[in-house]
Amino acid sequence: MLFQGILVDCFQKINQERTSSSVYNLLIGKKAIQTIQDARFYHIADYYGIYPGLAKDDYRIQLNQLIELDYLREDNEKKLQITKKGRSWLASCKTNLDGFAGAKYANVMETFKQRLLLFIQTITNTSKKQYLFIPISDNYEVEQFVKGFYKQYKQRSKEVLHQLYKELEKALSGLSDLEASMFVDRITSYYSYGSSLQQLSQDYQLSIPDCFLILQKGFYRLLRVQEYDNDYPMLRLFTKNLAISDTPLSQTAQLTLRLLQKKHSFKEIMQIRRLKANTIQDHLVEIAMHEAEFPFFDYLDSAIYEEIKEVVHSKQTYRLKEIKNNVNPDISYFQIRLALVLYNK
Amino acid sequence: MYRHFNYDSFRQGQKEIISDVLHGKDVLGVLPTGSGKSICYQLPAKLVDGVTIVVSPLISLMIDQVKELKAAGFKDVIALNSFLPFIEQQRVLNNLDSYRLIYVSPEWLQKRKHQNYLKQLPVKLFVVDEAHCISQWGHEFRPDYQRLHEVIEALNHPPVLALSATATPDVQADIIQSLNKPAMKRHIYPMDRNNIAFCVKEVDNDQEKLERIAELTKSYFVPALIYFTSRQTAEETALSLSAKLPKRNVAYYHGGMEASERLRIQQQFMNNQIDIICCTSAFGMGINKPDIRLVIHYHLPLQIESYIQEVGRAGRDGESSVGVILYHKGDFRLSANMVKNELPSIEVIDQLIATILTCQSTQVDLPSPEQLHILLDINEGAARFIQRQLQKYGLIRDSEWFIDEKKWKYVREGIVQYLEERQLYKNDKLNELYRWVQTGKCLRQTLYQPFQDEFGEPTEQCCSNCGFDWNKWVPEPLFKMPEASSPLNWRIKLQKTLNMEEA
Repeated sequence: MLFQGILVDCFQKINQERTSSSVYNLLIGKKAIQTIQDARFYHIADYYGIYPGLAKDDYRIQLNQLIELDYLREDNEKKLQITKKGRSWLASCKTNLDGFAGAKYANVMETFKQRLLLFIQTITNTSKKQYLFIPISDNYEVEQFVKGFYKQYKQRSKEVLHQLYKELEKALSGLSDLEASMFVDRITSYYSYGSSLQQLSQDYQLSIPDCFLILQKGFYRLLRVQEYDNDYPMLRLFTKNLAISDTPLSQTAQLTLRLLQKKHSFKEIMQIRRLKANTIQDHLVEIAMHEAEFPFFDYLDSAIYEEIKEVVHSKQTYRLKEIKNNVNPDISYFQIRLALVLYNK
Repeated sequence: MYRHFNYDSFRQGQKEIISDVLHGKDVLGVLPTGSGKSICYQLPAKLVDGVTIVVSPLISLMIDQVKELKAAGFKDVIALNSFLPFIEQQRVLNNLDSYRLIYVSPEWLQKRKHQNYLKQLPVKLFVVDEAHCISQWGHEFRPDYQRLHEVIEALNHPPVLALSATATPDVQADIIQSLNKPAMKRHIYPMDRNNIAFCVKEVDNDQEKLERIAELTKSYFVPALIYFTSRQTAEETALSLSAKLPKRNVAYYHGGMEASERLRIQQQFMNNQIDIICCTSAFGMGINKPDIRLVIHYHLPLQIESYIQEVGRAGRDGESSVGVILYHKGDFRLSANMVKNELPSIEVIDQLIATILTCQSTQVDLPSPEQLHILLDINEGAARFIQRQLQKYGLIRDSEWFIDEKKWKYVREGIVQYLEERQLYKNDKLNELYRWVQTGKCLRQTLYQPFQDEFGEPTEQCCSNCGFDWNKWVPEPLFKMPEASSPLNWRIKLQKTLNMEEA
């Protein structure tokens, strides 16, 4: 239900302007500029990267089910649109869909999760004098972090466990009992290995994707409370050295930004980086989205911007092609994309 | 032994093998499954001043072993294989001298570059695990194993230890010959497990198998493995069993699951959080649960050696255990079909070559030989077979295709012949297994006969042909803690999880 709700919500929000694979790319958190742009324009950034391991086949199966249920329908261009039935169904499950913060924690989530779970496994075992166990995560970086962290706190394990309990209890209380219970079942501790997704699916009679997403929701909740509330000093430690930011600039765009800051011209940047104009333009759009200050009007004058804005209003669309067809032919795709970024700021 | 592995005594054969290994001799060890084969090199690896290299055919097994060793406090150990991410591999290769025990896959070892890294090390022991893979007549023949003697030479002949749990005398001779070590010392121990009783039951259909399994698991509250050849049937059976047995914890396990999920299931089984696992042959390698009491085969494997390995996971602690085989008339055809699909047909190979030739003449990009399964709809084993054959005849070299019509015509006959040979061999193995299942003679003796001449007395009952009686089998039931399962109790669960029950 949760997964299907999210899908229907996405298709409602993108309003037939994008294909079904763009929603797939959103859910797995593809780092393409188009996907990041979509997430913002259509206000679905909270779903960005919430399901990294989603298999394309499983995604297709879910979509087909939604079509069969008549919540979604395929239009002439093979794009999916929400039906009346879908709309009323979605309204009935709306509250369930809150609680994700995908784009915001895209770079933090996986590491935070693994650090926390491995630490709990470590400290619950060692505090019972059990020093030999098979770790649930064998990621090198995570292991190193937990090692250092553990060294610091091993003398006070009782205190640490108590504080962890206090924080987890408080944070999970903000979820439903079912969601909290699943979250607890997933944790691996002393002589108790956490449930697999299949087991959760059996125990709670929910689909595997729903179980996965409910767990994710729990972790997003932990990330949010530790950021905004001072009652979670312990959880905050697990985000150490992780940059919480809206999907950061790609490496390559960062280089372009540096050249830009050194006042190199567009042409020079192309030459220095030996990249095509198109690629540099992609970087600029990416930079425009991330940086608070971007010199939009170096690339489009206010008349052009107003013209594009006008079309967005009158046609009610973000579709590049449609906008392009309705503005002066001299206005480029690049300019339209920049204008849209500015429009959404 | 106690200091390093917390065992207070050696099991049969371990001491003899280890002592020869420590004296620098080349050794062939054949020990029954579940007798602690790996200790035979893990202990020397701790004791000798230098590096021990272990060739192991299964990557998942190798990774499990490394995890277990690390968990047991043996830290300077690593597994090298082609699945290691590039950066990780580079980090490891640059620090290779900090490891004492290095597991490698045979494929990884074939690369000259990798061998050069190993040559820098003081290699004091070279272990060939699952050594029956060397022999064409072993049931898991791996051609890369036949080139191990080259590696041993390149490493300047360190002492070699070859280990197997299932090697007939023919296979033993093959191993010694292929490794080119005629003076190898043999330590061969009988394979029969006298605490396992065998019980064959013919039924009419799959439904009856399920009913029989439900009956058995209902009356015996013990850790059990149920083997399937199909992932789907394993899943379905697990689900219907857990519906039928609300008091038991049933899970499934197969190679199609994600690694971290598989690890959860394995560890829960070790902790007795789960007590019945419906699995494929992917389960069990390297699992050291001592108290598995029941190993049920819903589907049989494709040869006796695999059966011996799978049933051998029962009763490693020496307590009385039972191996149950459920079969019906239709099973043989199912197995025969699987045997057939393990090898490609010559038509499929012809088709592949034709596709490649067309692509080459029209200058269409070809996938690399490792990816030839993209070009054809065949299973992994069959794809590997084709790859090896083309390599053997030089039609694939260094991951590039070297194919033209003339060359193919020239080698085709040889491949056809080899294919037929393998097919016959595999069919023979399958027939041997089904003959065993249907025999009227003692199941224990017939099972182990190809491997040894003498048999120990069973500790309790023998087999269903020697009058096995379920009423006389009374294993000790598992002790189980009641669980708070309502979602409303999550706070209590969380307290327990974080060791706060005393507070």
